Amino acid sequence: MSGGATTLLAWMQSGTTSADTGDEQAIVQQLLDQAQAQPQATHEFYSVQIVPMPKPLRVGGLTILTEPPAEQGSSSSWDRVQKTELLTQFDMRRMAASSGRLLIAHVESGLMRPAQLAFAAELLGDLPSRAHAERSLLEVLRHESSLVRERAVYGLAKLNTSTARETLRRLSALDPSPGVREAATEALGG
Amino acid sequence: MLLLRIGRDKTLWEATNSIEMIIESAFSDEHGKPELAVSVYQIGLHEVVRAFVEHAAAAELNPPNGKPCVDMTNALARVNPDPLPGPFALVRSSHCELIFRDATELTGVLLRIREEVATRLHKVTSADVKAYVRGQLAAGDTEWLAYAATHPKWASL
Repeated sequence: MSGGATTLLAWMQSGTTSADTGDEQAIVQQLLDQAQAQPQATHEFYSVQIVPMPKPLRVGGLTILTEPPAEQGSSSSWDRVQKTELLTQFDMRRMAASSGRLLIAHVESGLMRPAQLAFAAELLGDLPSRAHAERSLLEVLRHESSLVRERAVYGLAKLNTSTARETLRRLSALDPSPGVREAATEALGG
Repeated sequence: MLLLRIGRDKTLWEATNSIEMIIESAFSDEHGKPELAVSVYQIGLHEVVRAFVEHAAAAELNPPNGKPCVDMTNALARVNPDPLPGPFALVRSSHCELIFRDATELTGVLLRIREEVATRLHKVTSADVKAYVRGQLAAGDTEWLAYAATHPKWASL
């Protein structure tokens, strides 16, 4: 069995309930499919697992937990993707390399330290979900740290949408930080 | 002589960024551990632009926009020569590591640098980058002629 699938199955236990709806069954199937197709993408499994669910799901004699059991709550792998304060650049890069949903969730949680947010902001520019990434970046630009805003400029430059370009034009003239204004100007080709 | 840390961000040393943020953003590895062997170039003041440009070229990066670099000269860290491979003699000969005993010593030095940042920052502009590369190519610098032959983005600056 692949490494990714092993990680996934570590969160399964015997149980008695069943998946009641098609949506629940679909989530379970998505987990299993991803485990087989992307053995390295363990963060994405977790991101699916933390979708709020009313109760554990029983499928094929196993129960998939929607949150880690208490006695396993200290798992470093789980904590590192669940707890914003523990996220490293390595973790965030891994999240961005998959769908980026979990990375956006952390950014939008409002719990990231400024340095984490700065690193995540630039990664947002690489995500396939450009509309969602754009919304997050526009929010990040309100941060008081000029370094966070500078990295958000680089994220917007990579997105290169019409909204992003218009925002860069505004920043190049109005941001209070000279470094952010310069970064925005250069991002526009100036 | 300077111990020049090549900058990645324009705003790193601005007042809105805490020392904790500076350490986590620019002096830590990807797992969040403070870097106790900090990469710098031991160069003269007249070599700042050259070091900035050739550092990027040697690392196979695209031509960079301008960034401020900081002189990390201090009385605490040990300077350990650390020659790098690559096509540029300055990069090979002047690269060093600043060795700190622990995160406390690193933090103390960065706090001092921050207090003195107005005199320690050396800003390299995008125009400086272009002018340097064009000048070296026009002057027939053999390192740059060889490099540009295989790196069109640099050759077309």
